[in-house]
Amino acid sequence: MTTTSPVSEASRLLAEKGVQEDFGFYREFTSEKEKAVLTIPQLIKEGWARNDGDFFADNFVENGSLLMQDEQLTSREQIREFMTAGFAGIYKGARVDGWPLEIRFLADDVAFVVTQGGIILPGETEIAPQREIRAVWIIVKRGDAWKLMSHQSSPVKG
Amino acid sequence: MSNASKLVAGAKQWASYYGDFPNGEEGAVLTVPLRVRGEWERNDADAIADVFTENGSMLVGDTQLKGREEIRSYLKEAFAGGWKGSKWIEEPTEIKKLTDDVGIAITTGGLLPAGQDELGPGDKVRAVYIVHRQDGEWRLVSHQTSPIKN
Repeated sequence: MTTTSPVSEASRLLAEKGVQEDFGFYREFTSEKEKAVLTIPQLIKEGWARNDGDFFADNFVENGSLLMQDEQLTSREQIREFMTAGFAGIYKGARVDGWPLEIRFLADDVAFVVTQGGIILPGETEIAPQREIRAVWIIVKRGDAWKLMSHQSSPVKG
Repeated sequence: MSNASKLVAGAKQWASYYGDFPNGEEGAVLTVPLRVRGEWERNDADAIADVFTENGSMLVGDTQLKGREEIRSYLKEAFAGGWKGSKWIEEPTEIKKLTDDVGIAITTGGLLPAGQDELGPGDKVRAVYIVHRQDGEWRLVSHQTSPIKN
């Protein structure tokens, strides 16, 4: 007789990082595989909540890309350095909110995800209209976990 | 210039658009942005739409176009209106092959309005192309641009 674990892959991946799973985050994307992919946006959100550049950067593959304003960062170490400085400076006390709009699997181990969201600055309670963004994420499976290959955000005006 | 030398000059110019990625796998990924650029020069909405996958998406300003047909009708209207005579110019910034059939191309460039020779300071964007080979042909899954402020 075979048994399946009562703990989903997403729950396991989040627990390993010490992150409380937000069951509402998934919206309509509730297959096990979709949820596992969506651990990455949740972990990035947590990296912001903690203002922790290491926690943030460790979600990327080694040659991951992040577009932050004018900076095209093209490796995990560049991302680590940029975000660590950012959380000590212009992003101090800032956090993000976001939610999935679309998920598509381009290969068994490559997911294309679109989210809506934005940065919430200290003292703000929600995303200001001028900080609303649409983001495209490429999330790839590496071993047991999903990792972030590319994140790009574009402003959408309200 | 004779027709032949025009063709050669044109081919040389287009070859230069491959930038640091002239060959092989990365060059294959880059053919997708180059097709878009080429068809844009002809303001050919159908040809650009046909580069996308059937469920491809394109973010223009705050309009998220979903599917090849939405892209087609938006571009048709744009090329008949504000984008008439415009070109799309860009240089490859980064190319990544994720699997045999999935790639990412990141470029820096923007929309060059009719009659202009270069991008204005506020017109520069970073574009990310997600490309997917389907039935042997590289197609565009997602095209999104982010403004560069400088």
